[in-house]
Amino acid sequence: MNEISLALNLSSAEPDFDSLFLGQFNQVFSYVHRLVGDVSAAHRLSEETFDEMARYYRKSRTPHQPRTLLYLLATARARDYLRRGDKQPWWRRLLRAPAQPAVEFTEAEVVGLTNDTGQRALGTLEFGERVVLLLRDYCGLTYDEVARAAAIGRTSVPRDLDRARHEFKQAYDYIRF
Amino acid sequence: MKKCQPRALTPFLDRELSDDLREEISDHLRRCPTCGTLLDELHLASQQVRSMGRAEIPRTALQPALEVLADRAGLVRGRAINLPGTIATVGPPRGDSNAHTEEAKPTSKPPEAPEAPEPPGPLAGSTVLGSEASSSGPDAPLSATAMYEWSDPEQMHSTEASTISDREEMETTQVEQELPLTSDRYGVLPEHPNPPPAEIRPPWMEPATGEDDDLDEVGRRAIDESIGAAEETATAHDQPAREIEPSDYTAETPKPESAGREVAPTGLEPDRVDSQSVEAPPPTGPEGFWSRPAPTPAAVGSGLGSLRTQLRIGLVSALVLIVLAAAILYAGRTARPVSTGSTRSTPTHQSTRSPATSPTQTTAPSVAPSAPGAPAPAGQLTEVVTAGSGGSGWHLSRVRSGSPGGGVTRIVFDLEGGGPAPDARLGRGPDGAVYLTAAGISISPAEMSGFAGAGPITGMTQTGPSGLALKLATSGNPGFSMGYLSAPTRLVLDFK
Repeated sequence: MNEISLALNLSSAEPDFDSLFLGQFNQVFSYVHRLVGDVSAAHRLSEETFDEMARYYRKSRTPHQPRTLLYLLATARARDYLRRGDKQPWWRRLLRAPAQPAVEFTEAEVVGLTNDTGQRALGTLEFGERVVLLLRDYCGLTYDEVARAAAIGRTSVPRDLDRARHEFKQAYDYIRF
Repeated sequence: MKKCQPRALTPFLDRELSDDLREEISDHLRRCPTCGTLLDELHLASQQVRSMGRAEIPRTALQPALEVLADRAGLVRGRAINLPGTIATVGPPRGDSNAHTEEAKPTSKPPEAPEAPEPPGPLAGSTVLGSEASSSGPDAPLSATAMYEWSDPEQMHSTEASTISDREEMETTQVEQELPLTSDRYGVLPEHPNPPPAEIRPPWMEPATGEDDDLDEVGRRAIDESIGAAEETATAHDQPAREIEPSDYTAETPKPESAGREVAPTGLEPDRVDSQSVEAPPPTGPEGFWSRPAPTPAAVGSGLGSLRTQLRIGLVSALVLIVLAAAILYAGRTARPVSTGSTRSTPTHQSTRSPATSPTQTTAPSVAPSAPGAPAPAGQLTEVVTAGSGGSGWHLSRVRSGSPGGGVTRIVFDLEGGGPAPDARLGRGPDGAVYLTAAGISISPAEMSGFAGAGPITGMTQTGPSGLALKLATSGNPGFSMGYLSAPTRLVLDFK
């Protein structure tokens, strides 16, 4: 690696918002859908995640490890949605205008998210196990990134992942047969 | 490594172990078939999650959305990024060479977006390199404290979701003590808004030095001072309690805490408070704790409150009793020994009857067992279980077998058709075989020819001329259950 490529690599170590959005929206959308199990909710939560993510890019700044941060925000939003549903405090309903969806897609473009056996097997896992399993195997994050995106300790990642894979396999085989 | 370490298989599979440990586990796996099977199962589960479908929204649909999102956030935008390839492709994790091979190559490419002209700028080219390197490249730099150095931590803490995540991260880190809690990691903690007062040390605690006479003198003086201080304090405490006026409840001047307790804002008249606090004798024995003071308006109010609480408790208790009685009645009504005919979503919910414990529903056969291949008379079946809702017109498309785990052998009949599920009846014949009859399901002989047996089921033969009438030859005396599963509709028999 010569100096020029090193400099280029260093100067662009973190992707900017455009490339992050274009490169990760489908994956984040799919990940959130696998967590909440509903396309419309996943659509809204994904856009809210990128809305929040965009605020970290204000004033021409770039957050460290934006992909991990992105999945952390998406996980937190999915967890909130599963806890509270669509309920919002009255002041938020009063003060905030409902955001219009920015991303438009057809049914054929999300046909891969249909309710398949894997989705039903995922539904039998607890939320934390689902998060770890999806972040590692579905989104392809490393253990360090999984720990940060799931807000858990680094040493608990292999343990949770091991348990999640075993339970997923059992549920998958049970549903399939 | 001699002992099995199943917990180490997951990081071994993900290539997250050190080289030494990895080598040890590889050696162990060559000798231990159990761990090999476990590793295969983990790998299969991982592959199943990886192969789950993803959204494939093309870039042409994402570009206008990007403009909207950037405008909403007020971003200054001067760069347009056009990455080639499928957007939904997932890069392999670091160091995982054998995994993610399916996702690494684009399986279904969305239509390529037209190449946008790259605006001039010093970072235009480097952004593409950086994005790929950071998203999937194995050499992407990882900062150890990156999570705590996001550019705008105020915004991070502004959202509730982020606050939850931060709290969990902090708690987890503190519990596991992976990293020391230093000020440079979490920032300098702000000073407490109300710092505690400096240490108050009475004069008699001061260390005295000198001879015994001096010590006696010092002690005497200390006792005098402390008695005097106590008298002053008592005087100060008595004063506001006696001279308190109603306007004093709203006075801004701070009062001693103990005096405030005596004249607690209960809405009482000052003289009544006075008489209560002064004239009431202190409880000297157990009877003092049991004696009741004269009722005051506040006490009457609290009594009403307790009455209300008791009423509530009584109401709740009555409701609980009613619900319990209803549940007992309902359970007694549904506990009749009649097999239900409704479609079950989970076959294990169907009553599994083991031959040792289950009662015989029909009388023992009084005739000789039927010839092999002949249908068993319905009256001769024992341990009968039923399922279905009286449907008909279904066709058996496939027979498969497997195990959902727990030593259960499952035989699945995939069905085609519509409407309610057909009635099915499963029971043990006098010859020990298990008989399945379902008149509403048609079957072709070819479907049965491929079945080679599974678990305790050694064979399967059609015994009736029409409908599904099967004889399942068994080894041993397995218990069984039956049920329907939906989407796709299938009849499931479990044996154990």
